[in-house]
Amino acid sequence: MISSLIFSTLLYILLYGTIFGLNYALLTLGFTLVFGVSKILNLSYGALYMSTAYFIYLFAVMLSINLFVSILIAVVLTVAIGLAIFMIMTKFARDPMIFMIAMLLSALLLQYIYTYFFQGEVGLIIPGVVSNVSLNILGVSVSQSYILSASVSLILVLAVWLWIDRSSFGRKVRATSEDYETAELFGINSKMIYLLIFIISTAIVAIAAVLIVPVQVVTPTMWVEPFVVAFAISIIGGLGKLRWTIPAAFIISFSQVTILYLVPYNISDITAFGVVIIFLILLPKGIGGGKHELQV
Amino acid sequence: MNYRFEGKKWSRLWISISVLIILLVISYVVNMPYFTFSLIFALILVILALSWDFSSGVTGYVNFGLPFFVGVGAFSSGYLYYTYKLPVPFLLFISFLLGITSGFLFSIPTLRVRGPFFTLLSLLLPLLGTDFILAFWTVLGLPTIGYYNLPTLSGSLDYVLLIVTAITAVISFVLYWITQTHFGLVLRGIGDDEDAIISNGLNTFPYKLVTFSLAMGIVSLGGAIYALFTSYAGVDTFGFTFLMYPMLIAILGGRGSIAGSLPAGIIIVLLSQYLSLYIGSLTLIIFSILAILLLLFFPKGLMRSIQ
Repeated sequence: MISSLIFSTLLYILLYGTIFGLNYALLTLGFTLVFGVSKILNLSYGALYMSTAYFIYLFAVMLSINLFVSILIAVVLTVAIGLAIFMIMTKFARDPMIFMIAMLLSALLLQYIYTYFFQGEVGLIIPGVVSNVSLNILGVSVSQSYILSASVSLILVLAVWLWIDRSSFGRKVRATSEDYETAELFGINSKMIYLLIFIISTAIVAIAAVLIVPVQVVTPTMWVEPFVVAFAISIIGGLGKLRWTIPAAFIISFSQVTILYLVPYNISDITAFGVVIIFLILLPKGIGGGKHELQV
Repeated sequence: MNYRFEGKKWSRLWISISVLIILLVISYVVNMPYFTFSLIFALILVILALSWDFSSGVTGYVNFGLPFFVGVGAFSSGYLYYTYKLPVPFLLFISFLLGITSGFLFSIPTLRVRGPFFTLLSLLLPLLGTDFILAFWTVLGLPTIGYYNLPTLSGSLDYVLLIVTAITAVISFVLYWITQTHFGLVLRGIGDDEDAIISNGLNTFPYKLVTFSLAMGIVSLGGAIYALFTSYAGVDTFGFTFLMYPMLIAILGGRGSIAGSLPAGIIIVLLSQYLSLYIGSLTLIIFSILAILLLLFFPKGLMRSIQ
């Protein structure tokens, strides 16, 4: 009896740790990619995640458009917003301090806009691609959305990693991230690379929102969680180091799931913060070591 | 050390102190409660802006953690009042000390990293501040909704204004004086080129540690003043209002100038307070657009533009 309890507990931690870890890796991928290539901290990252959720709610629930069409529109609009913020900030911000503050303010602006236009509507839920029915895996119930999002994120993370590592475009990206002036000397359009990487990163976070938000509630402050997760994992793994994204994500997710099982209060965000502080004291350069730059 | 007391440099502080005195006189002559109320709110945000300017504006370490320390000040004064019934001056003083302590504890691990990493870590604090309070207050069996009916600084709004003005003046005087000393010179050096300072054989870490602890102590003091002004300490003190306004004030006043925060703060807060009378909750949207535009197209600020 006791051994079966221990078994189900371990299975629970293993299963949810893996699923959350893969989702977190997807959430982090776009953030760490942009930093690796252009040394830009995208502080509006979480707000873009939230934007996708609100757009899907607007089109699929309020205007009753077909779900897949609304998802497509939402992803495109999110990329457009992200790109607009990126273009304005890189063109007009004079120094890094102004850039970061203006970036954070644009995230807050999006929060205030959604608060204003969706005020009074609480408990917003968006429909998922698959039904929300749970599957029973050896006595642990797991939502189908979780399984889908975990598998898609595994595929996407590996695809992006291989793409940056193997393809000729990936070589150009790595050259740009190492030294953009030399890269331009060799005929690589660095500005185009920055732009493309930013578009890809925004698309990744939008896809993450499409997959993960259906099991959450849409609120104007929901951008905090993906933000914290992406920060924590990129600091532990080392910003820009794609290879260490999944291990770092697993460190965070397994500690969160374990703490969640032991402590009756929801302190998963605080756990992430604590783990980051511990790693910062022990390994200030991340588990990969070396400089914070794009590495595959 | 002949740069210490140059009359020319002090004149900038006197400009803002005289602005403060003129506003006090106007407030007494006009005698409108809303104006006095807005002015007090402006001065509280100026206190936060001063300490942000002193720590982040001078050293270039962008700190997004202000709301957390505002919350520390507000909650600790609420807790101390309800548990020990301490009088107001003690509440302010102990909040200040607790702010220094928590700022110190926060700075030890985070100031080991530079640039964007410090910023990221500091941003985690206010994002998680609500969670912190809810979790630990629940564990300790304390009220998570906040503390109501706190004692006010003084019965009359005019006296509150006078007290807050005096505190603001003292803080701006002290911080301005520090930036003019050798210590302040090192801080400016950290802002310009930290590697140059280190290669000259100076360990910058203690300087940063003292600066950020003191600055976060002042922020907590500001939070305690805010709680005692509104006689309520709740999770709303973790809101980004307490980050957006101080940063905007410090930058529009002129980064690292200390003296510019006062005029800039009064202009910005009075503008937004009177704007909110007419357009209500749209203010936040309009104001953040305005803030982004000002940051992008007027990054030098008041004091640097005058020079």
